[in-house]
Amino acid sequence: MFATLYWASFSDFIHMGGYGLYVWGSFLACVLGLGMEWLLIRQQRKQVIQHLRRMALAEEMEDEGYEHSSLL
Amino acid sequence: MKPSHNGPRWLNLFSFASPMQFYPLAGRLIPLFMTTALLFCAVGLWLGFAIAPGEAQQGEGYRIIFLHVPTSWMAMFIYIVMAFWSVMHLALRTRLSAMMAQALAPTGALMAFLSLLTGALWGKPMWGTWWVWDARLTSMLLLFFLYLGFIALTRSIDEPDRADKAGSVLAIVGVFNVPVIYFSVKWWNTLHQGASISMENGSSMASTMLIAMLVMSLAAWMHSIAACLSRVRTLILQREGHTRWVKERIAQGEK
Repeated sequence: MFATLYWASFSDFIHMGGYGLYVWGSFLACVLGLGMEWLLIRQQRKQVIQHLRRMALAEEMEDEGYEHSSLL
Repeated sequence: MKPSHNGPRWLNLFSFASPMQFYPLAGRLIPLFMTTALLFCAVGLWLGFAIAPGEAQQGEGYRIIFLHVPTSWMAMFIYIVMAFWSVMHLALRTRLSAMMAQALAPTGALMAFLSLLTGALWGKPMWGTWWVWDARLTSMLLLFFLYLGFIALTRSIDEPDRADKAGSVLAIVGVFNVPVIYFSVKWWNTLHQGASISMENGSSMASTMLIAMLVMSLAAWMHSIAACLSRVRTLILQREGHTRWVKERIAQGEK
């Protein structure tokens, strides 16, 4: 039941009985949409981590600065 | 608040309401959900686009159903989950609940958008029009705008506590639109076809088609869970940036 291909040829598969544009258009839209979602998720995460790293660095430098000034 | 130590800590589910506990758990779960999503997606696409027979009335054009129905279901379901977490946030004042709602919204918006887009691409060859202002389509468009409104509202308020509260209220108010979408094909005379699967009549589809559609829906579920967990992790880092555990993780080279 799940092993017999419905299509006689590859071009039939692409053609989709005349609905190729609509069927593959929907498919492409979904692929692009989901792909974009994952890209945005990754990008946002990188941005947040980079920001936190900078904050940590700034804090470290501030601490050092304080130590030096206390020596005077 | 201290977690109770009456039993092993992993048994105490409420301890995961703390962002610190939830963060590593979510990290471990994401690859799991992503692989199952890919697996279900591959099987569903194979069944729907290579094995399932054509349909009597709509020829091969009906195959858009394997994308349209899962995205539509997901768009509606995610909103209900969002409203659930919003109720939890207002009732229990847990920060993580509000973060969950905010992590869900972009995926919900995307699903609603894809549902509308695939619907338009399906409507054009079958109905002869991309869009009609009928009950089903209009209420779905409203759902999309509710998602956008929720995202805009929560992001426009700088103070996290207030953003969480305002977002929760909006999510709860908007949830009444979901049953309207679901029953719109029954309540009004619409161009949109009736439900493919209903409680009373069961399924009106051939078994291969039905299985393909359900597998694709499972794939959409798994994808949405993975995306939401990833987003909530970023939100946790952002919100808890001042805490020691986040600072330690960053120092250890969090990726």
